[in-house]
Amino acid sequence: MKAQPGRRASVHISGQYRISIPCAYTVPVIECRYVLIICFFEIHVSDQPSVALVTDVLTVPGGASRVLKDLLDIFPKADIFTSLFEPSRFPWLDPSRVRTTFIQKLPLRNFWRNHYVLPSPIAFEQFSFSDYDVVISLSAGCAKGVITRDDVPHIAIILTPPRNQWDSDAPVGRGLPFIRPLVNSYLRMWDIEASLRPDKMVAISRYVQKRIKKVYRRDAHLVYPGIDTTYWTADHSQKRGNFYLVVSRLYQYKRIDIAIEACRLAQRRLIIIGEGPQRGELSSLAEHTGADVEFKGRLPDSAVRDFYRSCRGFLSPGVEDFGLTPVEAMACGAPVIAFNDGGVPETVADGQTGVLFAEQSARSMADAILRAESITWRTEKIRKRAKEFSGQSFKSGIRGVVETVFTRVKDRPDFDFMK
Amino acid sequence: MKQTNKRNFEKLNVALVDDFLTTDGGAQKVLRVLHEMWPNAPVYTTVYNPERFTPPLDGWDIRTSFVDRLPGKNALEQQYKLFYPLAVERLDLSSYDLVISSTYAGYSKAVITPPECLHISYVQTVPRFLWGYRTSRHDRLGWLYRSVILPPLEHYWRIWDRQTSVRPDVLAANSKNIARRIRKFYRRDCEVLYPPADIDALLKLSVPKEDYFIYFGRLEKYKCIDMAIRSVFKAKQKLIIVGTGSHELYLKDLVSELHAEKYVTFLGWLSGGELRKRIAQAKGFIFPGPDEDFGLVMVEALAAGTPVIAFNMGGAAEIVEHSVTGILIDSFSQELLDRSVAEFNLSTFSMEACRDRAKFFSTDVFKKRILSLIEANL
Repeated sequence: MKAQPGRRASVHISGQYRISIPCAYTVPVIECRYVLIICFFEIHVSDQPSVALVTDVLTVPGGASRVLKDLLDIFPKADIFTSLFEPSRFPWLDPSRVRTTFIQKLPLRNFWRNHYVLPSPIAFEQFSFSDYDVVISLSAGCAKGVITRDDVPHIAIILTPPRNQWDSDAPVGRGLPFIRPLVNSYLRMWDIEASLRPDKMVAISRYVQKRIKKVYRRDAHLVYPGIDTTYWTADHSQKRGNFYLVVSRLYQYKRIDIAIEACRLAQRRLIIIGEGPQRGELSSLAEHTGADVEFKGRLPDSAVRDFYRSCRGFLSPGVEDFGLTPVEAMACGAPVIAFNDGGVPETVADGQTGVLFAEQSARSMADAILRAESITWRTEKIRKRAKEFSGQSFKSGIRGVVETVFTRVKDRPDFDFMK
Repeated sequence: MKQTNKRNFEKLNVALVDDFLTTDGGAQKVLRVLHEMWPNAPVYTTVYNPERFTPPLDGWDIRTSFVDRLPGKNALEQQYKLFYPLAVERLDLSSYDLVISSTYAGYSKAVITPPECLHISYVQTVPRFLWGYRTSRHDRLGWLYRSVILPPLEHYWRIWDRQTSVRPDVLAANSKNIARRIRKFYRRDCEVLYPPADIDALLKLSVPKEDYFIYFGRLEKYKCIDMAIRSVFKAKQKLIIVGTGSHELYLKDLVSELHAEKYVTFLGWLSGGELRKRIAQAKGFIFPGPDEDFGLVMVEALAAGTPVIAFNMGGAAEIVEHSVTGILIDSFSQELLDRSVAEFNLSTFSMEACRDRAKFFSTDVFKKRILSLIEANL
């Protein structure tokens, strides 16, 4: 299959299986009919393509790590590459399969946890993928900038072009006034270079497709992420309560403040599940305005599912690249009240599975909440919509993209990645 | 470009550019051919060491950059490479209508030319170490250099390399292999223009064949010459190795280890005439290097009527035709090479076919093709 002198030797067995043997010096590929397997070699026998998954960072679970899990379902033996990894936050991940950059070894871990983006371009370029048949990157940042040789295809799943560089309303941030713009300028220039490196780009929504076209001038395939529709289900015996629900990491761009204010205007109870840097600000906002808000912090999936099943409606005030939580809520039968921008309108059908409001303001959202209450929702209709975004369809979409690229690698030297 | 109203080739102001003139290697062969076509064209480059060229570049109008005038340019040759990007961008080519650059390290393509000027860049390879290929130098360097100093330098260099690939009006790759790399790393389309091989003397040579295989060229680790040694030893065939290089001692040790002295002979460096005779006498040329950028030596072997045994990858796949002018082995393995060497039968190949194939890569063909490329783009 692939042949080059290097650190790992590939041993073919009857053309199908491949053993990877780490060795300290150049060993050419050996073909043999019978192999005596000696246990001190690390053996990795597989008849699947060998896949490397690259992701920006693995420090806080979120949408990206959920998609990563699905990718691991398609390619269970894949190795994972990332800039910074906190094993305790990802108990389902086998740490021996995760490779990290030099950022992992730097002192002052806390500082780098918040500033890993700065050394990430150089860090990701240090990874070598010559032992893999295909590289799949999953990124909202630097992971798409990895280098692969001309015989190793690279498929980049773009969650979004990096917000800090390309969102015109991105927050300026703390720190010295001229440092951040300079840093962002450099990161922007590198980001464009990096966008040329994937052979294929995959967008997670039409919204992201458009952003990719605008920022990178590239076309991207569309594959919607999916949820586990067998786990996120409705419970017909449970009666719906009289509160609204937000499930989100508490970041400024998620605009949970609008949800709080809207519920106050509509005089409805709001429950917020999730943690984040905005927690303090949002708590004081709720207190000062006398809104009826309860912060539940981080909860396990089973508790979240109960809330999805019992809430009167799910609120999505921000601009999401796709929005997994609204789909989860709909799978549990809850209608979604969402701002009509970003990826959420691609999943929520106005009037059928939720209500979309035109202005990103509390007044507009409050009106939408009241409008939603005047509609009789049909749980099965809402759930049917959610089932279109299942984990299965995501996996088969990704598998399809990998297959089209992978079969064509064999036709070199005329192989043209750009087609 | 069309409005420069189709001037005569003779009236064009031509300049040639080369990455650096510090060795007289295969890449410089191309420059010599270009200079034959345009003897009055000045040659712009970063650094020039005249004493290293045989035959010397007498009478050439060579214009160097400021790096050539820095102190200690020989001792600090590697370190001064840091300045090459700056140096090439400062070369003044504003008075030329046609600029042909020959690049194998990515520098000369970055020259800045005026809008009415046609800049054709002949790309012999894309800088391997920037784009995922390990090179022998990487393995030899210490930790500090490899892990601390080089990464940020290469990081900047990679951005510069890709950005400057936009500057030439036309990119010409020396093989389909390199064309594919240009398409992947630079995301640009390019022409394929095979390099010129100096094969006139070889084509005319007619000597009876002897019973030995030959390998000639630089002896480097990545060329996997040790595989050829093992194959001939197993097949009990004779192999002559011509050339020197960093891997020479290792290969000689290998031969004594295997007790293969009566099969493998090292002849060191041979002069032109001697070497040509040996190539023509050999029954086959074993070329075990995987993914060689192009491998002009294979063309030279074919010109002498000597079939080539090589792996079906890199340049070999474009030069050799399986069963007609040699054997192309599908996967990179010692056993398959052993088998091909053992089963090799000279009578199944036509020397005529080999020579005809070689003519495809001759200097004349190169000259004609580059002229038509220029004409098409003026």
